[in-house]
Formats: sequence, structure tokens, C-alpha cells
Amino acid sequence: MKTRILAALTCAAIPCGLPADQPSAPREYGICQALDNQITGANTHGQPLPLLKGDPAHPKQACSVPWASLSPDNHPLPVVGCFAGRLLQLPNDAACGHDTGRLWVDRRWVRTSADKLYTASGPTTCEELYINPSAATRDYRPDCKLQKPMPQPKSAASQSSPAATAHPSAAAAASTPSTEATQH
Amino acid sequence: MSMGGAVGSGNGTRGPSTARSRLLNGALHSLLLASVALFFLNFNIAGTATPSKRFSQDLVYAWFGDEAWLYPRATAAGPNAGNGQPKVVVVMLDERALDLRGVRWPAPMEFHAQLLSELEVLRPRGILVDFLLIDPAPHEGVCDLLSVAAQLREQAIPLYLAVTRRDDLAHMDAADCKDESGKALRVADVITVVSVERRADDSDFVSRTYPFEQRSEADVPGTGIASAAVRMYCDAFGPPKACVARLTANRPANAGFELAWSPRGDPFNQRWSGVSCIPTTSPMNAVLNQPALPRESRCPPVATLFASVLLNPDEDPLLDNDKLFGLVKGSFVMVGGNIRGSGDLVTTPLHTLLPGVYYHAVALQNLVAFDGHPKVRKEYRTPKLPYYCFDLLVLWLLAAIFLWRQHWVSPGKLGPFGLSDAARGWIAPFIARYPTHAWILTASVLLLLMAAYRKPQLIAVALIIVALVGVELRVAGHGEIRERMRGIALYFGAIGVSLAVIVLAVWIGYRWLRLPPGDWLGYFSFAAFGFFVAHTAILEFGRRIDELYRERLAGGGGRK
Repeated sequence: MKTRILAALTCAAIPCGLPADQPSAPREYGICQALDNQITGANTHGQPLPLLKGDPAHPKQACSVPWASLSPDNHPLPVVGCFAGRLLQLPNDAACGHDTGRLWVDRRWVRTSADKLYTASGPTTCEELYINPSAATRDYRPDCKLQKPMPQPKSAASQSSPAATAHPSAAAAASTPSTEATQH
Repeated sequence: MSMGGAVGSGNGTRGPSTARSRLLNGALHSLLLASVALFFLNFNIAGTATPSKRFSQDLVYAWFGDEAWLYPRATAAGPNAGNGQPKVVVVMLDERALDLRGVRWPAPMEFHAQLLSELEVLRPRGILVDFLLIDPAPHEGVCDLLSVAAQLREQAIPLYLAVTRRDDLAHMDAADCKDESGKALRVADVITVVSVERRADDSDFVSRTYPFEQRSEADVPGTGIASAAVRMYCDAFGPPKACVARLTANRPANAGFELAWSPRGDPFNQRWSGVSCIPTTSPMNAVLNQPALPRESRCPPVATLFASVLLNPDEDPLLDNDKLFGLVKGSFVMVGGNIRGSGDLVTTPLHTLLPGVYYHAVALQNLVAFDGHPKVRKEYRTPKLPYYCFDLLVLWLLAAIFLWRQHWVSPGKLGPFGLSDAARGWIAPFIARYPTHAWILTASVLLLLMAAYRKPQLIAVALIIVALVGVELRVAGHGEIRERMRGIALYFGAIGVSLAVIVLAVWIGYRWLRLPPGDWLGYFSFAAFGFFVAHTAILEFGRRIDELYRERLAGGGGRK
């Protein structure tokens, strides 16, 4: 009996349903893990928002529009898709004309309700200039190892399931969270 | 180093002469000496003198490149930092940035269009794309780029695109793109083409000069494709046509302006650079026989924003949009590439290799820092003779000071740093205790070791000086020491006056004649290191000619 109670308590404290090989806190795409994330406004110092269209893995420039044309009443817009922690999908497919599909915006240019949860503490400093001349033709992929860990969610949002992803590739990206940060 | 050559032995031996004629003679002799010095300063057989001149210029920038009097560039963060100057910011495109958008090198036009639309948000003063987008590309990509360019033009943000020839972008016009209203998007209407040609000195292949324009010898000055930095500066501070015409007028086709460099990296770069952006080079390094130029540094002198940071806030979460706007808004933005293996690297005087876009960025920094009047070498000036006359004038003054000092050192007496007869008389018997082969071989081996190992050189020289001074103090009489102290005081007095002349010459030459500092160490070496002494034989020869001339006059054999 005691054993069953202990097991039940453990299950309540730890998400038992999580597959063993799935990381409990997918770090790289933190903001994509946020539930009910909303875009609360533009972060462009009054400049138009550059919008993207198409496959978020290979996005294309769509147009630039002011925030007011996306949200005339300045109401928050729900994030209907999220890609790799960088691109957020808007519930709008008409701001840049027809045949664009739902538009994407770079996370840098907007404020979201989940921003505070994913505020990071320091730079990851992966940047460096490549200035070593090589007496050879390139035939390799560069490596880049992050020197500091990426920001961790501060709340239990890390344990929640990924937000609904509007695009298949977004879902794929969310399921392989460590790919981007380590492959190059 | 001996400055004790008694060159004035023949001075004033032709009987009494007036003060005026002595002054005239002195002026003429110093002019002769200065002319010889000028010749040797510019004597460049087989190009052997060029590297030392360039190196001495690099030393000046390495030691004083941070000083506002030498290079008043904007370094503080902010859109109009540094004496109200707009900043230049490099946006560096690397493979990480390409990966963020799922593309590989060479990046498609769509990628550039996207990046430009993101940069537009930051309201820069103008954007240079330092990529040669000259190959035919898919229609959609070309139209994306042209529409973003038109959008930028509407926002009064000029877009500059690198080309090698004027018709390089004809393929974009051939795409027949149209804007939303159906109006044709033409390259000439939305993009300014610029040259990204690079210059390097023949002597060491370092890029110290920046071309004004790209044109052939046959073309008229001002008709070529203006270089990126020149065009961007002139468009911003114009009037554009007059500005370009002023910079390119009367120049040879290979002309360029000298790039002032600072060894210090831009403070903004410290946030990503793994190395310190503050150099540790100082003139003392040269004195101590240490490397006098800064080593290879990965902290460039221009603020650098990696495109991957722009596209992915997680790359540098502390760089929020307020800081980003503070950096880019109102700044000149130059988008360049740092793709491994692409080979787009430029050899710079102070940072060894850097991605090629820094060449244009530093050139623009120079134009801004010097208010559109950059430093230009004498050989690129038309006419060039007045600038050499300026050099001659400076050397004339230095030579006059040198001869004045020589005049005050009594003929036949020791110079301030010469070894006295008494000291020689003490040292010679000391060495003579040993057989000739022993002391010569010992001296040779010691000199060989000093030549081979650099570190003991300074110690050995210091020990020799201390030993010789000790010997002199021991054997010389009070009168001789007093005489020598007088000579030393005269020497330093003359050096002080010479330095004052050099400072004045540097101020006039750099500030008003806009000459680069290539000759500064040359002046100094003539004044301080006894280079004049090496050429005083010409004065003896000149005086002998004077004597012959006067003898002819006295004998009634004047020139017919």
C-alpha cells in the first residue's frame, strides 16, 4: 500500500508520461513551449514589421506592415505557430496580399506574453571571425559549440507540451530541439 | 652612435666675412644637406625603401592610432557618437546566419532581400551589400530584392550594391520586375552600384590605400564607378556629384587615399570577441626589441553585428532591441560575408587579416573622421612638386639645426658620444694583454651571439654603454668632462628644437596638407639618429668647390 502511495506521489510530482528519451526542458526552442502565447505588440520603435511567408525553414520576405494594420485595436494576437524559437506565426494571411498563407514574424520584432518566462541571462558567444587563411579548398562543415547554456524557462512551462505548431516542419523542429544549436 | 664628426673645419677660413654672408653660406650648405637628405628619403631603388616607409607609418598608427589628434574616429556606441559622427556598423553574414534561414552559401537573392527588410526596421543611414550579386538568379528572388530596394528608397535609406562593371546587374533589369502598382522596378532607380575594388601596396601586399574610383587609365577622372565608401560618404554629406568630383579630380587611375587604422577594437565587439579589444602595443615594445605591431586580433576596429544575432535573439539575449537601435539607427551599415573558405579576406596594417567588408568600413570611417578630406600620398597628388618642396623645407630646417650644433662643437674636439683618446688609451692596453687572434675571435663570437639572439642584444648594449661611461669618468679630466657635458647638452638642445620643428611639420603636413605619416619617422631619423652625419661629406665637397671658385675670382679668372 505504502509502495503504491509513494508511486502515485512520484507520478504526481514528475510527468510520468514523458518518454524517457525526450528532454524534460527543451532549451533551444523555449518560447515555442509556451502555452497560449500571444503577441502583445511590435518591438520596432514604431517601424513596420517585416513579415515572412512560406516554409519557416526556408522563409521568404513577404512585406512590411505597421502593427496597427495587423491589430487595429491593439489587441494581442495569438501565436498560431512557432518555429525553432525564432519565428512566430500570425493569424493573418492577407496583410501582404494573396497566396502568402499565414504570415510569420521574427521573434525579435515583437513582444509576447511569454517573453518574461524566457528572458536569458547572458550571451552565448558563439560568434567569432574566421580569419585564418587556409591553403586548401573547403570540404568541411564548421563546428560551433555554445559556450554558455541557453536560457532555461523559469516556470513550469518547461514541462508543458509544445504549443500547437501550424507547420509540419515546426513540429519536426520542436521534436528535435537540440539539432540547430549543435550541428554547426 | 657617434655624432662627433667635425665637419666645420673649413668654415670661416677664407678671411673675414660679414655676418650676412656667413648666414647665407650656412643657409646654402644646410640646403645642400637637406636636398641630399630628401633624395635619400625618397631613394627607392628596386623598391627597397618602400617597406620601411610603410612599416614606419604602421608603427605610428599602432602607437598613436587611438589618439584623437591622429585618427578622430567615432568609437562610442550610439547612432551619432564620437564628435557627432555617424557610426559605421558591419553586419557580418556567416554560415550560422545562413543556417537560421535554411540556406547555404552562396546565399540566394531571397535571403538578401529578407535580411535587408529586417535591417530596414533599424533605420540605418544607408546599407552596402558587399556581395557581388552579378550572376543570373531566379525571377522571384530578383524581384524580391528589387522590391525591398524600392522600399528602402522610399524610406530614404539608399542601398548600395557591389559590382565589377556597370552592366553587372543587367540580369536584374532583364527579370522585368514590377511593384504592386505595376510600375517597372529598374536597378538604376532603386540601387546605387559601387565599386569594391581593393588596393594593396606592392611592397608587402597590405591594403593601406583605398581607391577613389574604379576606372582605366584611358578614362577621365571622375567617370569611373565610385568606390563604396566614397559614394556612401558623398551621398550622405554631399552634394554627391561635387563631393565625388572633388575626391577624384586630378588623380591618376591607381590613386587612393591612405587608411588610418586604430589598433583598438570597437568597444561593441567586446560582447562577442573572445579576445580583448584593447591592444597592448606601445613604443616601449620597440625599445625592448619586442614585436612593435599588434598581433593578429579577432576584435576588429569597426562595430560588428553578426547577422545570426539579428535573426536569432537567443544568440545574444542581452542585446535587446533598444541597444540594437542604439547601434544601428542612423549608422552606415555594411553587410559583408565571413564564410569559411570564401577567401574574402583583406590584409590590413594592424589587424593582419580581416573579412573584406572591413576594408570599406574603415575607409568610410576615415572619410567621416577626416570630414571628407582623407590623407593622400604625395605620389597621388597633382601637381606633386609642392609637397616635395614642403619636405625639403622641413629637412632644410632640420639640417640648419644640425649644422648649428656642429658649429658649436669646437673643430677637432669630441662629439658628445665619442670615445676620448684617454679612454682609448686605457682600453687598448687592457685588451692588448691578449694575443690578437684571441681578442678578435672572442669579439667575433660575442657579436655573433648578439646577432643571433635578440634578447641579449639590449642587455649587451646597455652593459657596453655603462662600461664605457665608467671608463670615461675614470680617465677623463674635469675640463674634458665639462666639455663633454656641454656637447651632450647641445645635442639634446638641438634634438629638442628639431622635435619642435618635426611636430610643427607633422601638424601642417597631416592637418593641412593631408599627407599620411609615412615620412614622420624619416624626419626623426635625420634629426636624431645621425643620418645627417652620414651625408656631411657632401658639405666638405661643397666647401672645396667654394674655395676653388673664390680662388678663381681672386686670380681674375672669373666665369666668362
